[in-house]
Amino acid sequence: MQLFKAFMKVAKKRLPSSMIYFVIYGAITFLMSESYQSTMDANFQSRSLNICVIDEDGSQASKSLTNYLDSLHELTELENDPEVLQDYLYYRYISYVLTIPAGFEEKLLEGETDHLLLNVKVPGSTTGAFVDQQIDLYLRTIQIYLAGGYTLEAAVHETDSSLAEAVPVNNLVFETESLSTPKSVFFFYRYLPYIFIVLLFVGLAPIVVIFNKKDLRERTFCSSLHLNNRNLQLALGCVVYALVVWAAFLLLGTAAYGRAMFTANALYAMLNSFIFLLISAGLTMFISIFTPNDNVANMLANIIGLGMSFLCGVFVEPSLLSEGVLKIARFLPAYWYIKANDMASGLSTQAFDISLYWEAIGIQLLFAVAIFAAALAASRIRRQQTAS
Amino acid sequence: MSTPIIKVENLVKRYRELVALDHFNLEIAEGEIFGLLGPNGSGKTTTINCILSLLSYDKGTIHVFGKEMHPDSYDLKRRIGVVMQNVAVFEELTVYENIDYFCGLYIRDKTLRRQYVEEAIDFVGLHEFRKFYPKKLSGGLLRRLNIACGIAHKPKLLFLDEPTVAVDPQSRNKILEGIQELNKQGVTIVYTSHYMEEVEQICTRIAIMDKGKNLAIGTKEELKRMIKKSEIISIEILDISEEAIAALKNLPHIYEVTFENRQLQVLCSGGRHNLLRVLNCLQSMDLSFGRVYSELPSLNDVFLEITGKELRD
Repeated sequence: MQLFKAFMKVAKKRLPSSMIYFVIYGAITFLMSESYQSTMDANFQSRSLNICVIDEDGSQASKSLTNYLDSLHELTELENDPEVLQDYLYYRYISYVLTIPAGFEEKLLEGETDHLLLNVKVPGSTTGAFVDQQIDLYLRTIQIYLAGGYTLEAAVHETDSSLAEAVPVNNLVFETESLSTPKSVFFFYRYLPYIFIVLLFVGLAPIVVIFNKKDLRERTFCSSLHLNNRNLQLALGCVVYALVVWAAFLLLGTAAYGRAMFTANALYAMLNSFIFLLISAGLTMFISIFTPNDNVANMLANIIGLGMSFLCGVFVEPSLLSEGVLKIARFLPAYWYIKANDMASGLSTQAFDISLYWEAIGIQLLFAVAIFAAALAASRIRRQQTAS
Repeated sequence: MSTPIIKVENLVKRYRELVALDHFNLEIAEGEIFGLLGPNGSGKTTTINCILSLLSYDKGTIHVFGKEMHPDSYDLKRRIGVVMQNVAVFEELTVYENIDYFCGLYIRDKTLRRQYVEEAIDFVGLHEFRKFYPKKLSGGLLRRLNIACGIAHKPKLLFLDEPTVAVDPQSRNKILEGIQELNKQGVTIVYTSHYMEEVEQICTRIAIMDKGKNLAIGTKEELKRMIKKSEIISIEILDISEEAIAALKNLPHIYEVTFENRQLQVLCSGGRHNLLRVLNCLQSMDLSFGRVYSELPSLNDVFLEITGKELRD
C-alpha cells in the first residue's frame, strides 16, 4: 500500500487548498438550493395570474366559467378596447385576455368544442398555456356532464365540485414521508452532482496528476510494483478522498437540516449521492490520466460539470427540458441521479416507485463500474503509449 | 566474458521515419561500470528505456539477468535500480518520505526498509536534509536525492542516465565517488553521459554511440588504440617554413603536421620517442621554440576520429 500511503500524504499536503474549494462549493450548494427552493415557491404562487375576462355572452355558462377563473386567478376588469388590452398585456399588467363571444352557451349546449372562446396572451408564455389548459379542462368536464343528461345548472355545479377536489388527488400517489421531509434537504442533494464533479476535479485530480507525471510514472513502471496493483491503489486513494468529501457534505447537511437528513426518503437521496460520488471519483481518475496540469483539470471540471448538470436537469427542471435533450441525458449518469433524487423527494411528476428508484441506482452503479474500468484500461494504454 | 547481465541483440527502434536505434548490440558483464557515450540524440536514453521496457521496440531481443525483459518482468525489475535524467521525486514529500516511497515499491518489510532508507540517506550525504522538501534543496542535493531514490532498495543492476547534468563540481565528485563505491559493493552500473571526462574517470568499459549505432566498444585504452592518433605534440614556435614542415612529415609515425597561430601541432600514430625525434629535427634546422606539450588522445579524440564530429556538437 506504498502508493496509497503516499497518495494520502500528498492529499494531506494539499489539504489547505482543498479546504478552500470545499468552503466555496459548500456555500454554493446552500445558496443554490435555497435559491432553487424560493423559485419553486414563486412558481406555485404564479399560478394565480392577473387575467381579464370580456363576457359578451352574459349567459349562465359564461358566468360560471368566469367564476371558475375568478376562483383560480385575479380578475381584472378592463374596457373592451383592443388597444387598452394590448397595452395591459404588453406591460404585463395582465397575462391573459379571455373573450367569451355571444352564443357561447348555445354552442356549448349543442356539444360544439371548437372556437367557443377567443383569447389573447403573451406569445409563447407558459402561463398562457396553463390558463388554456384550465379553461379546456373546465369546458370538457361540463360537456361530459351535459352529455350524460345533466342540466346546465347541474353540470356547472358538478364540474365546480369535481375540479375543486382534483388538486389533492395528485399528491396521494407520493410517499407521505417525502412530504414531511423539508424540500431543502432534497435541493441540497440535487446540486451534488455538479459540486462533486467540480470539487473532485479541482481537488482530487491534481493529486492523481502528480502520480501520472511522466517521470514519476516511469519510475514507478520501472519498479517491481505490478501495474494493476498501482492502479488499484490509485483508485482506492480516489475513493477514500471522495468519501471524505461526501462525509464532509453530509456533516454540513446535518448541521443545516438536522434529523431531516436521516428520514427514510432522505436516506434514499443519501445513497443516491453516494453512488454518484463513486461516478465522480471514477471520472476524476479517468481524466487525470490525460490531464497534464491543474488548469486543464479546472477547465474539464467546468465543461463536464456544467454540461452534464444542464443536460440532465440539475439546474433546470427535467420537465422543462426538451425531449431531444432528455434522450441525450439518458446516456449520462446525472440524469439517473436526478431521477432518483426527485422521486425520493416528491419533486418529480413521477410517483415514488422503489423498483424505479433501484433501477436508477443500478444504472448509476453500472456507470461507476464502467468509468473505473475505463480509467484502469486507459492507464494500461497510457503505459503502452509510453512504451512506443 | 561470463554470462552477460544485459544482452541486447539487433535492437531497432523507430520513431516514424527516424531510426533511433539501428541494429544496436550490447553486452554488459556483471560487476562492470559500463559507459554509454554519445552526443545528445545519439540514442543513449532510448537504449536504456528499451532495456527497462519503458519503450517498445521494433526489432531485436533484450535479456537482463539471463531472462527476456518484458513490461511485466517484475521479478527482474526487483533487482534493477533506475536514476532518470530528470529528477523524479514528489514535491509534496520530504527527502526521507521520497526515498521511503520509492524503496517501498520494492521492499515491503518495514524494518528492512527503514534500514535501507537510512543507508541510502547516509550514502548520498543527505542526513541533515532528511526533513527538507525538494523545493528547499539545491540542484546538486536534488540530484543526490534522485540517486538515493534509485539505489535505496539495493539493486544489483543500476541505470544512471546523465545523473550529473547541471550539478556543481563538488556534488559531481560526490556522485562519481558514490557510483564507484556502489560498484565496489557489487552493483553493475550502466552509466550514460555526454561528459567524456566522467566516463573516462569511472567506466571500466565504454560504448560510443551515434545515430543509434554502436560505433566502438571497449575499455578506454582499447578505444584509444582503435584510432590512428596515439600522441599529440604541440610546440610554440615563432615561424616555420614549408620545407621544415615537410621534413617533419617525413619522420616515422608522423602523419599530420599543422602550423597555426604560432602553434605547431604534430600528430603521431604509434611508435615511441616521437617527441624526441621532432625536437631533434627542429634543432637540426636551427629553429628555436618555446613551450612543448605531449598529450595522449582523449575519448573526444576517439569520438572525433570515429564520427568525424565533436562529442558536444
